Amino acid sequence: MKSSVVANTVSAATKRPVALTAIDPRTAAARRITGRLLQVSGSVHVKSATFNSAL
Amino acid sequence: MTIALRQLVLKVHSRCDLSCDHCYVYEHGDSTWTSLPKVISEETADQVARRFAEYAKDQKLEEVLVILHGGEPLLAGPKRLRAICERLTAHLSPVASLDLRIHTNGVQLNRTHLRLFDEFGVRVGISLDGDRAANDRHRLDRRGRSSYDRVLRAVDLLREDEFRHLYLGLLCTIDIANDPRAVHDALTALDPPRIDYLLPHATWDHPPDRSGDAAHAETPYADWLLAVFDRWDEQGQAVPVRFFESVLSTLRGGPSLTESLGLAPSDLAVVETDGSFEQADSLKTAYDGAATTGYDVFRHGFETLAAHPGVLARQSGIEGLATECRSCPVVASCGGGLYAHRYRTGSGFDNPSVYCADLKAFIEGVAERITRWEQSPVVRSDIELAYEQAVLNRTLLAGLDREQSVWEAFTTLDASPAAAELDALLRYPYVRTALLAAAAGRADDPARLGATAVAAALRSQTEVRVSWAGQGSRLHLPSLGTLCTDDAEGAGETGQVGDAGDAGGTGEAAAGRIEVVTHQDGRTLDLWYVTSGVKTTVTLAPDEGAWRPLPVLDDGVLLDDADPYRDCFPVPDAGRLDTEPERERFAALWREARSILDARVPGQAGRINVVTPLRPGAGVRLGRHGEGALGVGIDTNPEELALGMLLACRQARLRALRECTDLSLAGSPAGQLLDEADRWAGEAAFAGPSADGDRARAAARAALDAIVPGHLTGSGHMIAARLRAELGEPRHG
Repeated sequence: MKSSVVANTVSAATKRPVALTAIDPRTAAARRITGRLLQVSGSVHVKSATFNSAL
Repeated sequence: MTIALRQLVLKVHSRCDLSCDHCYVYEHGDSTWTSLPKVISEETADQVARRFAEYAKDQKLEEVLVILHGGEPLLAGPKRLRAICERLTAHLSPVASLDLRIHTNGVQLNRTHLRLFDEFGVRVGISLDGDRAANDRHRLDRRGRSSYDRVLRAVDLLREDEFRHLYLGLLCTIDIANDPRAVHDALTALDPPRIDYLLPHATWDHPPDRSGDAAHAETPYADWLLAVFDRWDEQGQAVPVRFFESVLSTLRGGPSLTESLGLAPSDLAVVETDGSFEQADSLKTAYDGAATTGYDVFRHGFETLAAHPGVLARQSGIEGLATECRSCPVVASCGGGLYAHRYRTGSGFDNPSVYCADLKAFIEGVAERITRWEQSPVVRSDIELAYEQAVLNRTLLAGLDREQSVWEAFTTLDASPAAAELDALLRYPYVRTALLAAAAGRADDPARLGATAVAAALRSQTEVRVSWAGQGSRLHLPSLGTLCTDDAEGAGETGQVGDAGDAGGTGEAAAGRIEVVTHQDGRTLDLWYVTSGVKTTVTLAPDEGAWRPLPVLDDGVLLDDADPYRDCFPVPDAGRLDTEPERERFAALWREARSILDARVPGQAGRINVVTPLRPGAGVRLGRHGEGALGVGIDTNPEELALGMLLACRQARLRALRECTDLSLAGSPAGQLLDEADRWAGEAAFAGPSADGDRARAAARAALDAIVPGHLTGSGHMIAARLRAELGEPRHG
């Protein structure tokens, strides 16, 4: 078995996405993107109260 | 088997200083409050705390939530509230993480309360029904005066810097006579961390108000909520709304966030001011005594309450619903609605919600809205998918709280030729797991982000200087390996990360600040443990004793048995494979399975980039997040692993697509049918030209044929067409 210091086994996209500094996470588009991921992956914060009459 | 009760609603005062005419405690069917002590005694509070702590310990609960409620809990006064908080903290904190909250009308809230709450970490939710006109429709005091100004003063206090961290949010009971957009705007103007909208309590015996302008509307409550939903969306979903987020979550297959929606079992206990256990508080709206159990904390424990038939009835999921509910297409999202709202004299709770039509219309309205959103792109190829995943990862990263130095490292890498390598690392499944944990508020792990920046710099052979707090003696660099520096400051005291094989955040070692400089050779690091002043330079070479690189299997897949965030499988991992024979055995299993798969269905395992050994009996599992993390039970046989690899690769692609776009109308069975068709197509490919293969192909076609035309999005159509082509059918649409 080999071992490697730098193992790039993930192929990268060829199309360049928008720069990190240009992303405003407060925009509706950003919230939808993050929200979808949290929902699809079942990562929404379920440890909050579910009691109907309180938050 | 009973579901553990994790949330306790503790009634600390049984009277209220408002007389809201929609209140379920005083204005509906129940008169229990008239016989209760006005305020809970210190002895009763102590007994409640003791009982709940015993239960939490027995059930091994990691976290418990206690909501101080009423009546109006602030009427208990600061002195009694302090005693209650002291007892809850004393008994529960040694056993579990205690999340203390209070829900109040806010009328009495002052700085004395808030300083007390700050001392005990009690977060505060406030009831407010919108703007002045909306709020004053119901929320008046006993003399008929408005509560609005007094409540707003309370909210203003919570918004002050000193108390902002205690501000939980606003709870609004819907009145369809109010302007929905004005209500939402009024609430969001108060900058709440969270909002929830409550349907007013009603039953089939006492249906909700549908008079006035709503008299001609078929689903006035759905119309009202959808108007708020649209306003919320216009505002960029800036404030989380529990009701909306619950529907969005369940439509996409996730959990519900409120007991009023979804099929999740109730984990709620209610204790009155006299120490009596109650079932769901809202049942008081049904009939007199509906919530009583006959149990109390002096004679019974929480385990007795957990076995009460009334509690169990709210834990039975879809089986506990009325017949018409079980076959309803939106049942996973509405869950039959709030239990109390199903009540009708004669049939009890075996009915749909009195809000059934409204709930269905609202959920379907949300499903249509989110599926047509322009931000749901059509993803045509793996290259486009990689692009969308990069957008997703970058958006996730940009939204996290992070140290300035770490952010600067990421942006430096992003602005350099190393940007592609940064995206590649962000796609690494366990990096995604960590990013998601941080985004969901489940992990505060600054060390992980710092380590991710270092790993990206090493992979791209870029020089970067980055510094962060909370680094222990083990620096795990995702996708690369683990560096153990015994001379790290405080490692022996607070910095012991322990065995790197233990799943958990790297942040568990709250050791101290570290500064790391990566060299352009991609293997040398300057480390400076700032507090202790220890400086060292390390070369990440296999023969360097402190460095344990992740092994790479023959086909280039990483064997990751060290990442602290690898615990994203539904079964436990096998720990680290510490000896060479252990690793060789696993590598041989992988090699043989890969050989079988390549012989049967060549070129199908490319999406897997990391594999983690799981405990015996675990079989083959796909990690919960990101693309391509595969968990493999160390006793899996090669044939099973080969099929598992193939199916996991296919499943990973569909999941990665769903993370970026919708494949079907949210909540529609089309999504599940697409999954079934894909799985059968995978089994058919693996079985080849055989009877088993023919059966699998027929099952795949049947699943595709069962999809309702129009329920697939553009991306979903592409998947379906690809599957039909794979099954030997001419391409459709």
